[in-house]
Amino acid sequence: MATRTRDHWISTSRPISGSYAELTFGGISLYSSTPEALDKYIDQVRTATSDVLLDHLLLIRQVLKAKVQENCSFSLTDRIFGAVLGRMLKMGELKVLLCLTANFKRMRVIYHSKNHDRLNEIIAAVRAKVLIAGSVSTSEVQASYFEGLWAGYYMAQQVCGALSYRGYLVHTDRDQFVLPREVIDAVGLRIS
Amino acid sequence: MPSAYVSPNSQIFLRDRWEPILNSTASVDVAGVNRHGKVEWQPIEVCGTKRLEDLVIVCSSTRLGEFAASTTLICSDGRPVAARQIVEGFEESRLRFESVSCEMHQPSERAWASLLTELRKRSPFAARSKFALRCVGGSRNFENIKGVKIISVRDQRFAVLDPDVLSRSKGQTFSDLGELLFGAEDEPGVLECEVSDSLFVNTLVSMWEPSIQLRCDSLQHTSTITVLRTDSPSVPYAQLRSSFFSAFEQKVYELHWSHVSWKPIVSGFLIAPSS
Repeated sequence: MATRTRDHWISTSRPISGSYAELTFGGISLYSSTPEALDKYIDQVRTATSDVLLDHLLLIRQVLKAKVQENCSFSLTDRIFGAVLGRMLKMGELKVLLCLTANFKRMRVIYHSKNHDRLNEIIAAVRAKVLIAGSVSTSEVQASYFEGLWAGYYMAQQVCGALSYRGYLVHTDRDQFVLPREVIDAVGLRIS
Repeated sequence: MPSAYVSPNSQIFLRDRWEPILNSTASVDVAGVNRHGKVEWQPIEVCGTKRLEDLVIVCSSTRLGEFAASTTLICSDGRPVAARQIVEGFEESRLRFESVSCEMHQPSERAWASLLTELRKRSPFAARSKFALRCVGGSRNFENIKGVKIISVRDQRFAVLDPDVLSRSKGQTFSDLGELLFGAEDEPGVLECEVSDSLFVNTLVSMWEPSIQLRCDSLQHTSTITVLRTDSPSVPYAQLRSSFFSAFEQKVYELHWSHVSWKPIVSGFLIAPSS
C-alpha cells in the first residue's frame, strides 16, 4: 500500500516500475521515490512517535499510532508505523511495559526510555502505598499521579496492571487491586 | 597488549563455569581460541572503567550475549564486526557468528545458585527461606512438586518455592517446574530480558534445553522474550536472531591479555581486541 504526497510516496510494496529507494526494518521493507524522501518520511514518523511518548507516559500501540498520525502529513499505514516502531524499540529509544489485564491477558504498553525513571518512581510509590493500605484503585492512582492528564485513567490502570503482572497485586475487578496477603503469609514475610 | 571493552554482564568461561565479568577477580584464566582454532585457557586482566557505553544484546543460535557497543565480534567467515554495527547496520540476518560452545554437561552448583538468585529477583515477595512467583501458565495441578506450594488468590495462582526446590527437581518434576515458570506449550510464558538477564536466560536454556525455545515478541526487537515450550529438540535461540540496544548506558569493563594470536570467548562469542 502506498501513501503519496505530491511527488513523493512511501510504501511497503516494491514499485513495479521506475527507480526507488528501499530500507528494510526487521522483516518489513519500506520503499520511496528517493533515499532523501524515504529518510524524510521515516524521520517524520520517528520524531512524532518520540514527541508523543515524551508527552504521554504510557500508550498502547493503537493509540500511539493514532496520535502519531495526527502529527504526520501523510496517511500512516499500520505496516509503516510497525516498521519504524520496531526500529525504535530495537535502538533502545522506546521500551515496553508488560501489564496484566483484568482478564489475565498480557498487554504491552509503550513508553519512552527517557521516562523510565519517572515510570519506575510511580510504580515503586504505588507499590509502597499498597503494602501499607493493602489495596488500591485505579482512581486513587490516577488522582495521585495522572490527575488532569489525557488518558490518565488508562495510564493508572496500566501502572496497576504492571504491578499485577509482576505479582505484587491481584485484580478484584477491573479497577480494584489488592495485595495477595495469603502469598505474603506463605512466604513468611513480615510487612508492617 | 591486546585489550577490549566488554559489558559487566558479559560472561567468561572459567575452567568449570560461566561467570559474569563483574563477579570476576582482577586476574583470571579464561577460555579462548588460539591461532589454530583450539580452545585454550589464558590469563586475562579484568578492570572496571569509568567509560560509559551503550549495551547491545546479540544472539546466535547457541548463546545470548550482552556486549558494549564497541566490542568487536568475529563472524563465522572471520570478519570482525562491532556490536554497534550489528544493530545499526541492516545486514544482521546475513551475519553468522563464530560462537564456541563451552557448555557444562551437568549444571554446577553455581548455575543453580545464579538461577535461584535471578528467580528471587523476579519474586514479588521473598523471605529468607522462601519466595513466591506468579504462575504464568499451565492448568495442571502442580501440588506434586515437592517444595512448591500453589496458592490461589482471586483466580491468580502463585507458587511459593523452597530455595532448594530447583536443585532437588529431576526428570518429570523438573519439566513440571519449567511449565510452572514458563507456561505450557499452548500457553507460552514471557520473560522480560533486561540488561542483566543474559546469564539468567542462558542458564534457563542450558537447564531446560531442548524443551524450551525463545523468540522475540511480535513487536520486533523489544527486550521482551517469549519462552515457547516444545517437544521436539531444536535450537533454543532459533527465533531470537534480532540484536537490540539496551535503553541505558552502563560502565564497561576492560579486558587485557598478553597473547596477540589468542582471542577470548565472551558470552559464547569470539571477540577481537580493540584496534
